[in-house]
Amino acid sequence: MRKKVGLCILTLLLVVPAMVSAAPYPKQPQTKVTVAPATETTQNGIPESELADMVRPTDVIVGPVFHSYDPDGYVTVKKFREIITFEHDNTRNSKPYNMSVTVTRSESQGSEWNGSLEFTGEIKAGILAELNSTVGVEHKTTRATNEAVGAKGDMEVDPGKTGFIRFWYKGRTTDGTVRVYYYNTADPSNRTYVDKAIDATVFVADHMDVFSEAWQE
Amino acid sequence: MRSKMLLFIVVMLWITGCANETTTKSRILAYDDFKKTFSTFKEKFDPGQFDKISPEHLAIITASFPENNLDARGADIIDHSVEFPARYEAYYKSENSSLLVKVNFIYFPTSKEKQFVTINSISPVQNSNILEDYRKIPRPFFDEYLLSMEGYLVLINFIDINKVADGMNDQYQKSFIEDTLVFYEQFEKSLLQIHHEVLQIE
Repeated sequence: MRKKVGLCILTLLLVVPAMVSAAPYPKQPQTKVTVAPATETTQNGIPESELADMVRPTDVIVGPVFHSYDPDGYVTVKKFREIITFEHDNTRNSKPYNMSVTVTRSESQGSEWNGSLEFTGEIKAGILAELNSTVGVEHKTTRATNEAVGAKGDMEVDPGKTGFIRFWYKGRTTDGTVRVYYYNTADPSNRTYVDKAIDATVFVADHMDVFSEAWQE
Repeated sequence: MRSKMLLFIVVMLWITGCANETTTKSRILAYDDFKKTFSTFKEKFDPGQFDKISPEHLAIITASFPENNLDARGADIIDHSVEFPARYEAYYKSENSSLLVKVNFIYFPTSKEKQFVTINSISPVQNSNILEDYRKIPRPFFDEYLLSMEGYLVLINFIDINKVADGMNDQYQKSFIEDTLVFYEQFEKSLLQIHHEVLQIE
């Protein structure tokens, strides 16, 4: 009898873990907790993490802060930044080959700024905003046509040739004067203004304004 | 009674064993995941002692097949468009030697496991498969690693870009191979990490 009891206990010891591991894991109740905003909060365009460096035990001079941008003009640059190149080698083929491609916004890479001066994000944003309002209508038109369908390129490559289709972001080269100011935290309303001449090419990164070329060699 | 009990224990032990067995699901790698794996690799892989010499934007290179009776697609593309190339590539150049490396990611959904398929090699010192009269034919130092990953292949071309010269002997080959291994070690580490991150394979 004692042996039987011992055997039963042994069996139970073996069976219980088996059943536990065979059972599906119970679903853990999930509590949704928002830990942090998805994108960093900015103050005047400056990320909060950078503001932490600006802890001021005593009064300091703050700046440059964007005030305004006065563009003298702008020129559209067709080949500002390369997005993607398609190359099709048709040299082993005796028939023409049709390359047809669409570029989507997900292809975008690289920086949206190429200029003569380095500015903070806030000042760049101010210049971009001014440019956008100056050339706003054109931006809206291209946005509507390009974003809906993606940018398309077509090319019929002759037998024995290699075909290329390349897409660029269009940029806008602008020159003008950006006005920034500095102030002392002891008297924030007393601002010192500084005008800086700039020369920069920009594009709005969330916007599909592309130029493409197709050729064969 | 005791034998029944023993049988019961044996059965339960067998069930326990089965419960712990992991079921491996075979899944087809989506093209977008393949492309993302390559893009992430190209962006993040920055090997020491080598320069990345491909542009930041993607260059998609496809080719028409010669006239053939094997494949009706006509070119190395997926889904009828050069937008979906079968292969993506990136170049690297050694900072210390004349080694040029080309890494190719090839979409190949039927490959199901991670393994070396083969190493293909051409060199002026590898002669056993060439008749004696022809062993002076100049050949470059060229190594090719073919790896199979889950859903795609990786083909690494290692090419020595020095002009073939008489002094290229066993010693030269040794330093060529050392350079390729410096690259491969870093490459594999990065590939495995990105492969698991992007495809979320345990």
